[in-house]
Amino acid sequence: MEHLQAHVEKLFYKYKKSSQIEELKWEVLSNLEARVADLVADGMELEEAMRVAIEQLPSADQLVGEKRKVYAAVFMQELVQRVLLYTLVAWVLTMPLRIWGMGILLNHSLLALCLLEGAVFAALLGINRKTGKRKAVELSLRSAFTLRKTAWLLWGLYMAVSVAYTTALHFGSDIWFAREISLSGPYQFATVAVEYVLPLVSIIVPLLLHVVPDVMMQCEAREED
Amino acid sequence: MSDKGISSDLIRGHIDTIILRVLCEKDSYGYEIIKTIFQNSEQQYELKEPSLYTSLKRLEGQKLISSYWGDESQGGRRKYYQITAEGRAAYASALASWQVAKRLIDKLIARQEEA
Repeated sequence: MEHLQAHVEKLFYKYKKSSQIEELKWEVLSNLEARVADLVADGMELEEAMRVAIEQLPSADQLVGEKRKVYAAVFMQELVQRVLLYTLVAWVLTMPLRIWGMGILLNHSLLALCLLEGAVFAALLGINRKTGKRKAVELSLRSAFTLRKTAWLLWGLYMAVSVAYTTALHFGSDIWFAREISLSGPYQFATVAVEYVLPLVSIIVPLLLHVVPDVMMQCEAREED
Repeated sequence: MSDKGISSDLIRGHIDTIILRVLCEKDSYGYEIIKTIFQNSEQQYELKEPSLYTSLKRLEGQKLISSYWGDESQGGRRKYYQITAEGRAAYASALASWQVAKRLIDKLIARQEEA
């Protein structure tokens, strides 16, 4: 039975020692021993019973419940679909901005992005129809949540800097050089307004990362597979 | 999709209730719970260990079950789970809603031969 204990210790080696993990380790070990005892009672040799029981033991990540098995292709398809949707919305919303230089560039890039994503989506759809739920990968749910938090934090920071930069560029001269702010008409006003609004399009990135954990749970592989 | 796959999808939403049912009978530990479920299903459904631990953790978080360490004289100590009063109430309501759903789904899915 020491053999089993050593195996469970090895299984959990990369997890930090915490009371929760220690408890889970004891629980897994006692259940493993019970399984072996059960197999032996059914007439199996002890060595063979230990081998079979260890073989059936899932990975520590699965036992801890952090890693989720996800169908890779279905997961990708779902994500590409979301990003395509977001890009389409962004493309439509930025259409009025085509009057101004940067707006044209942005709007056209968004359209190009839509087409690209559409092509990738169609390709994935074709692949999934054939091979479907064949390949499952293990992804960490905790990392997905960390990524989502980080994305929003960075995006917030980016927006703050971007707003400060635009403000300094247009209205800073008033402070530093005592020049008057020139918003001579609606056109000038709109030009400045657009510069404030343009960076907002980048909200696509945190929005996409926001749905990753949900999509992961949605595409979770079934137990029997 | 295999027949087995479909049934496991259907079962997944009821794992918590299935475990509560086992614990309604008596306090039990992990492997014994899996074994009891296997026997109750007439050797057709084996609950996987990760699902068991996730479910037990969730149930304990909801205070529907509690746990304690047994005092086995030999081998590792086992973690036993015990259903709480809230757990029994949750089980009863889950059972009732399942019976309603079962009748309804049966009406909707099974075709009536005679007019």
